[in-house]
Amino acid sequence: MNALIKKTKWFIVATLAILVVGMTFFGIFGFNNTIDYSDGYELKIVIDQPLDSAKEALKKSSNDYFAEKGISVVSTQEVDDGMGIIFKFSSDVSSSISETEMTSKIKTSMQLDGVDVETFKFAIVHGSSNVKVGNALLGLAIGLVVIFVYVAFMEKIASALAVCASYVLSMLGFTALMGILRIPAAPLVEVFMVFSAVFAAILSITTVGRYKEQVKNTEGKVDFAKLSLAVMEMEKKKYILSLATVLIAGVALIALFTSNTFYAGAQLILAGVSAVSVSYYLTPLVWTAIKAKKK
Amino acid sequence: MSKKKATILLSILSVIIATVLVFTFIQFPVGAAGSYVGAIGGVTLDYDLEDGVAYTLTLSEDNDEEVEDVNQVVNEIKERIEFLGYGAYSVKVLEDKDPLVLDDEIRVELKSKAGQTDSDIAAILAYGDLHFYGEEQSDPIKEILKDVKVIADSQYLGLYEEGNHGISIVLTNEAKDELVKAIESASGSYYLKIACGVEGHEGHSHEKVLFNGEITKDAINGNTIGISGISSREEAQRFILQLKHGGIDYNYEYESESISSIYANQADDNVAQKVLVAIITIVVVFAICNIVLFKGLGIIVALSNLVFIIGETWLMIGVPGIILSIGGIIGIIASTIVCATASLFFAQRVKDEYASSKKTVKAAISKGFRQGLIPTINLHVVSGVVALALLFLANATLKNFAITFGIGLAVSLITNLVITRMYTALILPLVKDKEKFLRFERAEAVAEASEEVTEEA
Repeated sequence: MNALIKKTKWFIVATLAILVVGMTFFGIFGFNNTIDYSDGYELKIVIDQPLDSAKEALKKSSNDYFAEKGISVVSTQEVDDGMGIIFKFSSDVSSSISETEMTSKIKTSMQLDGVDVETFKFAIVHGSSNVKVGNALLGLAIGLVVIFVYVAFMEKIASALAVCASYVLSMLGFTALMGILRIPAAPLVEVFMVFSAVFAAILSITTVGRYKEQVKNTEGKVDFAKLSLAVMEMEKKKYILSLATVLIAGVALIALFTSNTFYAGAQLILAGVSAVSVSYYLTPLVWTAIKAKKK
Repeated sequence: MSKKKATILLSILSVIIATVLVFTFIQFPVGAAGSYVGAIGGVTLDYDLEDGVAYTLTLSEDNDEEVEDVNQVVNEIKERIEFLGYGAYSVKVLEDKDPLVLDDEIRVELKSKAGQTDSDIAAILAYGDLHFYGEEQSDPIKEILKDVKVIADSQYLGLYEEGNHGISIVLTNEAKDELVKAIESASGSYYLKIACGVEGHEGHSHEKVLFNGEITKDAINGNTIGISGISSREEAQRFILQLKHGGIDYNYEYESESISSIYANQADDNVAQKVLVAIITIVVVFAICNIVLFKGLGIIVALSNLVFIIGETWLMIGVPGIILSIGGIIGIIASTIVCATASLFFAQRVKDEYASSKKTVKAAISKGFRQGLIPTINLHVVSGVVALALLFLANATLKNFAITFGIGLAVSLITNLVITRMYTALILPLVKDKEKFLRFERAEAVAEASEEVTEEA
């Protein structure tokens, strides 16, 4: 058992540190949200005629104006096929923008008589985070009970506890990492909480299957700690490849999506790292501790 | 299996897979007006991936009550949107920069459903409470069931025939007794009208009639009244929403405008295409890694994963009612990762079995499959349990994730248990040096080789 603890001591220390720091951050600040899901500021500009050239001019001249003023636009949304644009800002920029100046710039850029700026309106946006972690947690809790019963029936109680411990700790680890790294959460954090727990459980369940086989193959007295270390070695490649799979998926999301889904890739990587590390180190620890105690 | 038989079967299978693959991704014009859009083009996308519609809500001039807590209104609107089955949506409060403007606007953004969204929004923003009217004449105006809780529950019953959907209304005991008494005391036919609106307005002009028809004592079964003749399922859902939740407390007027997806920050950003590219990249990179690591076994796993992705894609249009949001995309990616992990697990098992025993390739593969069977089923069951729990508990993004993840798990299970084994059975007879093709090595051979390397060094 000492050898196993020695091998996993860095995991234990790192996990405890991440959990304490992450949960403290999470408790104080909660999840971080993007402008589309939190409070912010917006400017809506709409022209009164649906001419393609006018739409293009509206877009270009507005962006040029913001660039000139050094105003950073967080994101934009087009309204009525480009007749209007909603510009979103993280801070109040209304004092830096002159309606007369900007409207005149847009109209000059359009070079079309009779086309006018119909709406020029600032608003403070009170965001609507769609994150409802309660539903995810309830689903995970029901899943946890069913998984425990199922694994206990298919394998053994020690295996069921090892799988369930990985399931819970991976989800907590992911939440703590989200708390520390302040990656914008909505609208997918609940999805990745679930993924982190489930991925840890499925990795863990394949590992406890190996324990069962190895115990069966061992003749006579079993040293559970030694057996766990041997299985850890056998399973190392599987865990590395699983992590690589998640990294490939995460990087593909980061590289190929728009800025908003960049965060989805980052969250996928965090969920994967949490799941792989927790199930690799925690499964043998819990399984061995219970087996050794029983013995 | 003989080499000839394996060649024929593999050729047939390859032609089928190639054809399905082409029809999954290809798009071409058909006839003068239509076009074939493939499985990818046929997937319905939600508001967060495609364009949607935005409704800007402003308080009506004849709104009676002052809004005390706008967040409460927002939450109520959200609940009502989710009740009508919208996955991705956004509800925001827009506070005017002018401090003299006291009333906040609300912007609701959701997917535009042909012919439905305006009616849905009308039901979501229905103003006032439910009122019941009953009399011996059609279109009754005498209000009944005034001071009691009337509706205990309401459910969709199904489609009886084309354009005829039914719902049930479960009355509370108190309401049922009062209604039965009124019907019994009538000398002739008795008519019931259910409307949602504001009490006291002249002629009830602010009320929307939800039901207006004759009712008999026999029509009340226990506490339940069945209502049929509703033109669509969506209409039935709107009816149920108002029966169960009435209307909202404030009178909002609204106007709509089309709006771009929150994920498409630039007009030329086609999010759906980017998603497709991302998933294809994941599968291709994963296939390359597999082939590099496991050689022949990697080819088998890569082919199985290709079948998985085709199966999952077709089910996205095959399973009715799926609207793909960003949560659904993550569900597809997550199930792809689970499928890939299960494949890796199988490949490693088979390789280990050969290395640690003196079995032939065929025997090692057979044992590897047998040993991997229960853990493969276990990992899919474990994931499936959570997907199922979320399907019933969650809403919006998480529900969309649960649907595509659950479908993906079913396809992954079949892929790992059947397709991988089938490809192994078909490909191996065609290979002369199976050990080399599969990169199989005995444990002793690996140990000896590493010793030699060490000595040479």
